[in-house]
Amino acid sequence: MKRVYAARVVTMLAVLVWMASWPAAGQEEADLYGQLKTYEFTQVRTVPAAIEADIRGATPERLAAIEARLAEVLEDAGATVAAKQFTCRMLRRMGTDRSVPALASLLSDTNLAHMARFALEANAGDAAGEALLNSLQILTGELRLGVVNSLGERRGERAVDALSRLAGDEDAETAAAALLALGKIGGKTSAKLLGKLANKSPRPPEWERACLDCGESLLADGQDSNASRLYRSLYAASAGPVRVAALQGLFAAGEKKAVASCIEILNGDDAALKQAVLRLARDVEGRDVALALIGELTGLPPEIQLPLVETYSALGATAAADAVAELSDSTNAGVRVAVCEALGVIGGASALDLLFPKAAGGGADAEAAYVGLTRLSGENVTKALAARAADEDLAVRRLAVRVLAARRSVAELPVLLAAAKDADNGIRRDALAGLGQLGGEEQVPALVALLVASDGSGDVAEALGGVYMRLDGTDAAATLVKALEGSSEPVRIALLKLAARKPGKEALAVLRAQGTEHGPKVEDLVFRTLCNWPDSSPAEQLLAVAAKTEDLTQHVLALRGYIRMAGLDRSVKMFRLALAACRRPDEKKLVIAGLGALKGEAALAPVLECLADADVLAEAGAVVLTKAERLSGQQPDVALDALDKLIGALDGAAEQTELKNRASALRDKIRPPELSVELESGGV
Amino acid sequence: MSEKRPVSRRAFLKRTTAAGAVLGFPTIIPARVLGAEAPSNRIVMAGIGVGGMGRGDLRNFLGQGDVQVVAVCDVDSRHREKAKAMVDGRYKNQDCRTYLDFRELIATEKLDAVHLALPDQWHALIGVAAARAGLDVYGQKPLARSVREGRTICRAVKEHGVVWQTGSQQRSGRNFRYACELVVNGRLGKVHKAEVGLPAGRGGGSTAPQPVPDGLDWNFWLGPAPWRPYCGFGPHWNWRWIMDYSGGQLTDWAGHHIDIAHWGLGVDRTGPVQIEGKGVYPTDGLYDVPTNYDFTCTYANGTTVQVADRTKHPMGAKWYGEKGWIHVDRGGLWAEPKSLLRERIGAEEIHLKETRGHHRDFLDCVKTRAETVAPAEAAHRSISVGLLGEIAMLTGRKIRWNPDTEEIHDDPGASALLGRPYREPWVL
Repeated sequence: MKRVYAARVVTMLAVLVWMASWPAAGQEEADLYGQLKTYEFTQVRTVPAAIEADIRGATPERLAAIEARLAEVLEDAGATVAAKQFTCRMLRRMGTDRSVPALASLLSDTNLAHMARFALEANAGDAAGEALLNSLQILTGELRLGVVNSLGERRGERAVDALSRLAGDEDAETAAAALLALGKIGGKTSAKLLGKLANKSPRPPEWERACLDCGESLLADGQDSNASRLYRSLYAASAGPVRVAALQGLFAAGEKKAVASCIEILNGDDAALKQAVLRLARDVEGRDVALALIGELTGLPPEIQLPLVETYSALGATAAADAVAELSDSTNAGVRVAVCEALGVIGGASALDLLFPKAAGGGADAEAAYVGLTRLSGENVTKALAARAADEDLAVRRLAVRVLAARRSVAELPVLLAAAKDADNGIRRDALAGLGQLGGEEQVPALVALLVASDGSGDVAEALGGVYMRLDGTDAAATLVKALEGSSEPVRIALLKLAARKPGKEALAVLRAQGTEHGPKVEDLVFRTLCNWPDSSPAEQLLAVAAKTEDLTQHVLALRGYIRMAGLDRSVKMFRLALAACRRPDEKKLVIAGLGALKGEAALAPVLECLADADVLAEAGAVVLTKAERLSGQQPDVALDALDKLIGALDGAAEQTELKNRASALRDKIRPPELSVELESGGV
Repeated sequence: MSEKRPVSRRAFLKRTTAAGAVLGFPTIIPARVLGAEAPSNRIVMAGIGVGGMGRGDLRNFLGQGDVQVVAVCDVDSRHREKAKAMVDGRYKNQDCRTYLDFRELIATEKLDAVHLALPDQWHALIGVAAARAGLDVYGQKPLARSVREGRTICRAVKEHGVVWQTGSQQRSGRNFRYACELVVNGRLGKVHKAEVGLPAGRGGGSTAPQPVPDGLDWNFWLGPAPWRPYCGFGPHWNWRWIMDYSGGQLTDWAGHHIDIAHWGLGVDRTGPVQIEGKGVYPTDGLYDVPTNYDFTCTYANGTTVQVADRTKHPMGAKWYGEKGWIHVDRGGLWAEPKSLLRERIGAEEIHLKETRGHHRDFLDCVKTRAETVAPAEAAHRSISVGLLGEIAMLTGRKIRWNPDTEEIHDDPGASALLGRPYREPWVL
């Protein structure tokens, strides 16, 4: 104890001595920024990291002080390149006008100019821009190129005059960089200069890039006409991907002639440009392009019409519906199919008259028209289809009901209910299929009435089943109870089958409430439904039947159901009860197999008991062996006991020699024979 | 029940492709594939950046029957030669051409597409150069090293109508797609939170300068990044622990699990409105990316996405909603209640794009011109979350973000970090 106390005192003293060695705040800062001046690339980043931490989250006042210290580093001729580079990096994050002179002085330093630009380029203040601009007068070569690039990135219009002069520089690299910078800065003056170069030959390749950048900045400033002029020059003078970009720019600038260019392209031979126009039209942002082409649709070649029609469909462009409909009799099959499908989306009620007769025909057109009809939306579509569903012409009625059923719209349910009473079997079936997929609680009474009227028809029961499956448990049970009141046997059977499709406590209560007065068929259905119940709720009832019934079939079904439920519950107790109710070896084998699937020692005991029954010895023995193998690692004693019992039971059972050998081998593996002797003699 | 049944984009594209094929519609094959330059009707490709990851992609593309790889490019001759050997071995010839400079490759070869696997500081420069040349691109994630670079890539892809697939291959995984479909179709009810768990970072790293290996152009490897002496990490895995080239595991994995979280939330074309959090930074050695990180993004509808390293969140994406949670990672798919995983996505519900494999999807889209499963815009929005988290942690301030204009409100210091200045002569 004394030793621990002494150690604590020593530790505290050491801490106090260490704290006394701390510098005052100002001294610490002086050391930190002073140390930075000698920082080399080869050193670990302790000092830079501490300065970064100092900057992170510093107050504005503190940042001003730090900036002054960093400027000192830059101004110190003895400071290392690594130190100054790091300093520039920090000033990029926090530099103001205060550090501009120190940074500007580095712009002619071959080693550090780029780092000084990093800080000045990011500094939004005018002083930084002026410093860069002034340096153009003294810099040459790559250093000047760097400054030109930085001026472009800063997008300051004050640099336009100087850059315009450099755009005509004898040095090609400088001229190219200046052009790019002018493009980025944009504005009217830059645009004018770039426009003048359109007819110059040879033009620097950077001119195209500069035009695109400049065009975008003009668009951003709302100078659409200037942008349009520039894009037009570029479109005329370029090819390939640049021409594509120019075309997009023309559209963005609202250039009416762009539509004419698009039509020209779509009718031309340049596949790349065709791709570009169609891609542009397909983009949501290119919606205006697609709409602009509506008037031209019918005159375009089929291979262009097809993707455009699909584009109108994808964009939901209802304005294109009439133009698309005009292509419904195209000589090109692909176009006709696309038209039918597209009209389903953009056509509205007016397309119904076109699509309905087509759907009644044959081939791919009919299929596409049918798809179109199933998609049509609009207030009058349902009304128009309902009228056709009541048409005297059977074929018209059939198609209308099939379409209505496939449309999956609740608004059409009354029409489908009416059609479910049609004299035609096919119409009834389609209508009921639709009702089954769409109907809700409101349709239940009508469907029950139909079920009663049809005396339990399968189609009606299926439709009712579809609705029933969407109701929640309580509502569904109430529906059943109500419908069962006074129902005939076939209707009752149809309704009770629904209970099996949606098992739950409410459905179970309905089934259990069925008395014997409804006849043997109902009784049998209820019994079999309980035997197949997905959980163990009716288990006790089944065990009672299995134990008492004299009907062998009932006994087998009930016992099998019970054994399955014991497996679901992983209940050894239930398996034991099942064993007691078994009348035949096959039944016992089922129980043994079920116990074999359970883990743990508890499931072993009833199987061991079965070893005494010669009729199931092989099955019980196999399960014991498997379980002993599983238990051998964690519970070797239990495994050995089970194996001893198994080997004992197999004594004299000649046909089970292999099983006995395997059991003996396992026993020896768990307890080697020599050790067995020792254990037996030593009594451990 | 709604009367309106819009056609899903998937069904639309499927029909377009099928009908186009029947009609011989010209847009399904790139011009150069149809033209005399590629009479074999194969997609002509090259690999740029063919280190370990790049050669993995290369192997995938070489295994596709409709691809012809004609060239490889890398600033390290060791990588170039290994990649060339793979290509030549596949075609049993010596025809694969090698390049050190990607600009020369793009200008010289007649290509349909390129695959890119580069250190992050190069992603935008080369990705944009390829797109501007009209080449379709399979680019490894993260999309870019800065938000501004990511937007420039998206713009170039859109401007020139090229196909872009980001290497966020989890989108082509069945489990990930199914998890996202469950979330996006409302099986969780209203989702109020998603958690994203990513690997933790690493400190340390030797600062000792080393001789530049033969065959490595170190200055070119650095490219637009600040100059520094070579000290062994260069063309190898460890560059990802240095902020000049990567944001560490955060940005490396943002393209996976943040991307999946976004996909499920249906926000992969927008972004958060506020980001706040803290990082732990190493104080010694060479590396400077956060070793641990934890930040929260809030979206316009109030949903939050919490991103942290795996010491706080389990790996993967996990969504929490009114009706339970769903968690997906490469190791499996879990839910509470478990019954959620028995749900089927109905015909009329949202079906996210299903692919025949991530590389295959890219090639299919090169032919159909359809959108890939991991397009540039979605990748940009995923990595933007990682990059904005990085800015919030670096500045120690709460970031207020406009996902439409992609600007930070009232914080010039933080705004300065949205882009990355380039060393001369590089310019985007």
